[in-house]
Amino acid sequence: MSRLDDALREALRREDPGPGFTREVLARAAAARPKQSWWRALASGFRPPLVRWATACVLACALLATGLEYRRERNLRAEGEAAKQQLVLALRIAGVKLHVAQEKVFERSE
Amino acid sequence: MRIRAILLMAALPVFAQEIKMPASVERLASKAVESVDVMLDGALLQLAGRFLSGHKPDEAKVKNMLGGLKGIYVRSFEFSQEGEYTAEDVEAIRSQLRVPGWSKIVGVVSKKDKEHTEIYLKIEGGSIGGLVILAAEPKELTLVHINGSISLEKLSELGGHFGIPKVDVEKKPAKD
Amino acid sequence: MRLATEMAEAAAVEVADFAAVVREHQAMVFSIAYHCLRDRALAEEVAQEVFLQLHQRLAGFESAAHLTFWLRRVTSHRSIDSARRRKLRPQVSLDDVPEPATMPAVGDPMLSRTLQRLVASLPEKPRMVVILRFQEDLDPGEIAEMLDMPVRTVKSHLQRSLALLREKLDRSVGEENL
Repeated sequence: MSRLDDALREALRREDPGPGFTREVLARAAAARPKQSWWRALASGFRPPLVRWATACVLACALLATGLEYRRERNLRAEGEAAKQQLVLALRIAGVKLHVAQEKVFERSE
Repeated sequence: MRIRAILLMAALPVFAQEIKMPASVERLASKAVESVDVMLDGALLQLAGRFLSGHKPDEAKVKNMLGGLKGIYVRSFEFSQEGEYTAEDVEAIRSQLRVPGWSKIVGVVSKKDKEHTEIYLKIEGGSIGGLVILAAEPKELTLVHINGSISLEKLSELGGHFGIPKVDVEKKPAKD
Repeated sequence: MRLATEMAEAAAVEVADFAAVVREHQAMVFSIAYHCLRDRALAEEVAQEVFLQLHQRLAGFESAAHLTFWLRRVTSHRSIDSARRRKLRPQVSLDDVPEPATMPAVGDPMLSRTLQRLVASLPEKPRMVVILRFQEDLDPGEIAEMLDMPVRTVKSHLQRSLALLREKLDRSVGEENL
């Protein structure tokens, strides 16, 4: 095994990202995760005694409405995140090209 | 990354001209190994702004820029070899900017790298109403059009974030 | 309310599992991106996006090995895409490589920094081949599968990249046998 191989292994050793990386990832994941537990908790905790069917229908309608609203919110969030990524990409490309132009202007102003 | 979008092919009045890749270059899209197509109009920009965090410094800077913007459009092709587009194709883009209101403020040609970068500003009522960057490299052709009130200073403040190199106004010219 | 409690506990376990996966693999994912892009902020962004993508499909992995393979593969491809979009491969000239007074030893931080910059100046795919070989200790067959390229291409990239790195180091350091 050559010295270059050893040197490359040393140079390309794994290193940790900045502090708070895990926390940021979890926060972003939580923001993207659908919050379902409250309605499931409601449904699971409910023990209809005598008007079981009527209550179940009301609950089903409420769940349907909530589900539709949830889907609308999720779609909006997905669209918004996609638009945000596109925006960052566009600004990054613009910034890179501006930087290249500036570098060349500086080279010529010597 | 390949991003597909529906192009607006309708002709627009001169005073609200959309600067776009000519049809002759769009036909080369199938030959490109990479293409970028970003079309963010006012509504999408507003939506994107809602998902930018005011607490993160990077995203706050971008959020701060969105106020006066009406649209951001980026079309970029990367080819596997040189010569896939012609000087006429670049001229067809350039000719769209020879209309009242648009002025070229930077034009840099590097014969060594065979790169050509031009920056145009649209001046409306004494302030900037738009920015176009046209970058022609041997294997890449890029058109950036930012429509609306854009601050070059705020754009350069993005340097050091999102992978954009920092624009150092104090930098000394490099030695040859 | 027992079911609600169980569901809340299951959600907490899911979050805890994901957090554990992130902590276990964050150095690997970040380092692949960082050694490719040489930009900490951008590498962190790429790494976060990989884990967010992972979060969408955490339940779909058959084994830890499958998960690790997936993470390396997605990180590699995202890093290459990001490097291409950035399109500012730092061209390292010999003038940028300082001439040390003495021959640097393996483990010398200066040599490591120089090598990192030289690796980052390689074209994107050969760069990733070198990173997967020497950071992740993968063999050419594994790298080929990860990057969707033939094994002979991986070997060619490795051979040529090492020759280039060796030549640039030899000229700057004066080390004949590196």
